[in-house]
Amino acid sequence: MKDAPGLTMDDREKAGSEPSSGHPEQSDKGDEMTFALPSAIGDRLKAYYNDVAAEPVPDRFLSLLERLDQAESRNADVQDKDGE
Amino acid sequence: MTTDNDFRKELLEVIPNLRAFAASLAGSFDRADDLVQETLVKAWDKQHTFQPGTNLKAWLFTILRNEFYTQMRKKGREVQDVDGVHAMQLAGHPEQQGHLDLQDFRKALDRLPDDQREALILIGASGFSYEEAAEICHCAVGTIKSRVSRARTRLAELLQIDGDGEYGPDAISSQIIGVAPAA
Repeated sequence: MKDAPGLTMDDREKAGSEPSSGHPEQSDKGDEMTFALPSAIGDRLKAYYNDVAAEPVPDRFLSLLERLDQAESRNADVQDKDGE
Repeated sequence: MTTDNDFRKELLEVIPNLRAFAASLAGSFDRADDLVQETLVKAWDKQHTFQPGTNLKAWLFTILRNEFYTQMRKKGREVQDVDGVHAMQLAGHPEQQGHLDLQDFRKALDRLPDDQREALILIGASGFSYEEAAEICHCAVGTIKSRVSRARTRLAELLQIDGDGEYGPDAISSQIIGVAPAA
């Protein structure tokens, strides 16, 4: 429960009397553990990063890729790209 | 044609990560998204140089990072903006407003040298291995390791995770991992 992502850092720090979950939750590859970030920093770093990464992809990128794709298929061969 | 479509789909999947990485480099969301846009266009143009089966995410991060430093060099120092400006711009971001300590964290992060910050992000947040990060940054694995280590130490200082500092390095690191007695 104390690992709930919505938890504020304050709460986390207060919960700091118990070792904050021995393994830094998403410690991807095991062989990196030698240099694993201390969890307080590691958690905040991920929170910071995921805050942006969790956002939906803006339309400008969707339409950009759409345009690139269409431009290419128009060049390659005359293919009927039916909308969408 | 289907391969193009696959490529496009894979690009799409990496965009959230690219944005987060770009924001950490560029400091403002507008600039970050411009960087991502440049990256996507470049990646599209040279998709034939991408080896299928290798790490597309790392490939894209490399392009984005190169693009960022190329722009920095062009624009000179103007880009390296002053402490806190990043944080202020980013604070306007709706997702960030509720998170005061995210803002603190961001400010601390902004005070790290660029090379340390990017190493820290790549390893600690983007999920790359040291080898991948070294390739992305065009440097040795050992260099990445020491940058991450210095970044981590500096962040701990900035965030005062080491308390009042009277405990020395050992106490500091045990406090960081949360096992030290509070008093």
